[in-house]
Amino acid sequence: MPRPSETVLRQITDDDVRRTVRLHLDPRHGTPYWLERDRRLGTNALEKVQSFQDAVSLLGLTDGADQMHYEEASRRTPLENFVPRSVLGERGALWAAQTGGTTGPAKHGTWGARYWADILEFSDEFLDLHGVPRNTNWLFVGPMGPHTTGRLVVAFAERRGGMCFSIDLDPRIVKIFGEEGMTAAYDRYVRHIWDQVEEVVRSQDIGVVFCTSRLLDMLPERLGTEPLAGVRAIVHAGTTMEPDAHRELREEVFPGVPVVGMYGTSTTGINWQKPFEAEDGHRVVYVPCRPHVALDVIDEHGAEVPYGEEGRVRVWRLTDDALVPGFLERDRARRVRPYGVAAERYPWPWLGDPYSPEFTEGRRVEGVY
Amino acid sequence: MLTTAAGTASPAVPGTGGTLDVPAYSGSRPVMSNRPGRLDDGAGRPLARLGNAGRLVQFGMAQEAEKTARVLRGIDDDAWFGLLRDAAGRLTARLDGGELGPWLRALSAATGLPLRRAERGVRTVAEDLGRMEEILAAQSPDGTVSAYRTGGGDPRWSWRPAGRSVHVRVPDNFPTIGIEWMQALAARRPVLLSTSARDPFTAVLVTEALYAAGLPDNAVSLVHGDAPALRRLADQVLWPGEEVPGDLPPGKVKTYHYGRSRALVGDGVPKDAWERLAREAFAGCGRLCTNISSLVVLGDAQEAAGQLAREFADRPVLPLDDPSASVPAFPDRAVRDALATRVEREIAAGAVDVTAAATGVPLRVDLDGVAYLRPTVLLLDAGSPLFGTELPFPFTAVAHVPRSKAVAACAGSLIVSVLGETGGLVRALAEEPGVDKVFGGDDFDRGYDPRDPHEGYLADFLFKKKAVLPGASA
Repeated sequence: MPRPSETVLRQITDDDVRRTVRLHLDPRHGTPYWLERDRRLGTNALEKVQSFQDAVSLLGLTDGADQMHYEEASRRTPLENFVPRSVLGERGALWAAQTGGTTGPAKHGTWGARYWADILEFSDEFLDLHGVPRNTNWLFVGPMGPHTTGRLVVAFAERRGGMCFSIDLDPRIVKIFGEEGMTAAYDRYVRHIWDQVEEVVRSQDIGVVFCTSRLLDMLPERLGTEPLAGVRAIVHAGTTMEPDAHRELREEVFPGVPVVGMYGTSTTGINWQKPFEAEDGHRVVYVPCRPHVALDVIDEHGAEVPYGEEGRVRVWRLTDDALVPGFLERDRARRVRPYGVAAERYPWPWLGDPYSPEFTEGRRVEGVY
Repeated sequence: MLTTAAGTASPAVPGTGGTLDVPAYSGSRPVMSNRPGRLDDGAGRPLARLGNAGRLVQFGMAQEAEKTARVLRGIDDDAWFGLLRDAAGRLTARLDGGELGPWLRALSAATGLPLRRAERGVRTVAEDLGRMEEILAAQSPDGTVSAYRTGGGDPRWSWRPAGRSVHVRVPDNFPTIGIEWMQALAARRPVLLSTSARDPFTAVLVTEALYAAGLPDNAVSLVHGDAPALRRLADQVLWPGEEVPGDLPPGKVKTYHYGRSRALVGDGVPKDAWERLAREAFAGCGRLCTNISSLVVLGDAQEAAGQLAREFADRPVLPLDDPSASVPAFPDRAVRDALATRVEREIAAGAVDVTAAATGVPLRVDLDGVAYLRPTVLLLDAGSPLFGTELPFPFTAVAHVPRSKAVAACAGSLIVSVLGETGGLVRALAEEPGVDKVFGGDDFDRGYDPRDPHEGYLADFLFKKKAVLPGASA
């Protein structure tokens, strides 16, 4: 297992940006896709990008044709197009990640060994901050297979001294059930998931449950609370969690047990919920895991919205194996000024109450995320 | 800035005072959520932000409701029914004081009910709440309300709750439909409500009045829209209409307030019969299950249709804020057009739109940009698909039916009103399994009285006789 990059969470520096640009836009050893785009758009980023601000204005993806080109290439062309030749030449491990496929065929991305190690490192930092216990078994209820979360959670559990039991679910077939009106099949599939969960919690000693937010919503009504009396932490990821649901979990269903949110995507990375404080009002606020990943919240013109306001989420990933220069997610969120006990440690803009509009408005996708 | 109705470009509906916040209630605690639901008037103008209570919150509601059942049964009768009367008085006082103007205007705009009718509907809800003691006594096996608390005094059985909580889906056709869940609550059953799309208002107003009057916490919780967790977790379910969600096992659910009501017209009907029949057709703006939707005429159907159409003609389409308005609008124009097409198809097949001749008004009416259907009497063949169909506006289909087929033509009726001389058909109708209520003589237009069995008594679903020994002390 490679060592982490020894880069603790911190602000992104201009040096980080220049190093990433040198790596990915080196004419001989860089990344085929970004080199081709640089030529196509006449950017000359290698020369011109000297700071994060330069990257925003010159390198960032723009909504519309530019982002669509990138997305389709990540669906239809070999994944090696998005990795620097120099990194491929190192022959290090690369995890081939796939997105859930909510908006079409799955997109692909990599998580290089060093990035993976960094993620485990800062995830430990956050899990400890929240009081998630070590040396206990985890139960993961979520997508395994090509989805990054499953593999990550197994790694969290093992690294922290436990085993990870897992119940697999396939969000793509669930999407088909929803789109084709197969309500009975959907209901049966969900019951199948809970039947398996019940078997595991009945027979195994589970200390941490990791669940998609949507399944977590159903967990107490499906299992009751007694079988989970020994659970000492809950971790969730996926769609939005409303403050009232968060309050219900912390105060009624799992009193005294840390409930921790993780936000991210399969191809970019993850971010952790800030430590819970009363002043959160049970809103779920995330700390972007800089310098690996930066999350902006922007308006329709691409400018950062003021603190407290809502906008569209834009993701930057500046790692050796992958460059994601300001990808515009479908998600929306509130831009949050750091506050409370963690403000000094993570003094960059945070992200509040992210949600996917297609899950919460109008044409809701019936799913298990 | 959150994406809410307040942030939209469309102006609010006049008189609603802007966009109302209509919370869900987890017990007595209002729940609004980060991204409330949005209700508009059908033309995109925002009316209300609706609190969103997810599955976890619903789980909490159901858990707490179960615990509250015993608390409710522990309250003595005077205190309990006094509390309900107090809540009724509070709601009436808010109506009298004009405080609910914005709510009523929003209710009118959302449902298409004329403003005055919407107000009268909410006022009736309050009146019903205030007389629950009388309504429940009529349903009790021993005629007393104490049986709901004690199980009754029979030595062989004890009348016990068939569940600890009941989930009630409240439809949005007319406010008075709220009587169903209020009866369940009055029977000391914690209720878990889910409101329907166009009327989130009435149930919230009643819930607020109940808690203000001192209702024990968690006796009522309320969710706007679909509530899958409540369906799953409540011991019993009351579901409006005839289409029950597939995830509800048959023994757990009772459907309510569905069905069609008909009138059987014989010889020598009283002089005021047509006016009284029209009143029944227009009750609740034609959106009740008790509206006369078909006339089974033993004699001259054309004459009967003409008489009824003249009464319909006295009730024209008026703007919703006109105090005399009794015809509902359709906030969703597509729904109006689909209904109109159904009627027009029958006319193309030979039915006669008798009201068209009596009024000179077309079927589709547009008034100040709002879509209506003109109240309609349609003379048709008894085999028409519209004969016996209930439509959500004042609509009555009239057909001649020979005496030998009259009972069969009334099968599948909630109420059959019998007018004039029908030669012993009242008894035959009362014995017809597909007829729920038969009203004849001067009671032919009795309509809905909550003391009458109505799809049976609700108490017969909420309670069951159990052999419990040593008896009442158990």
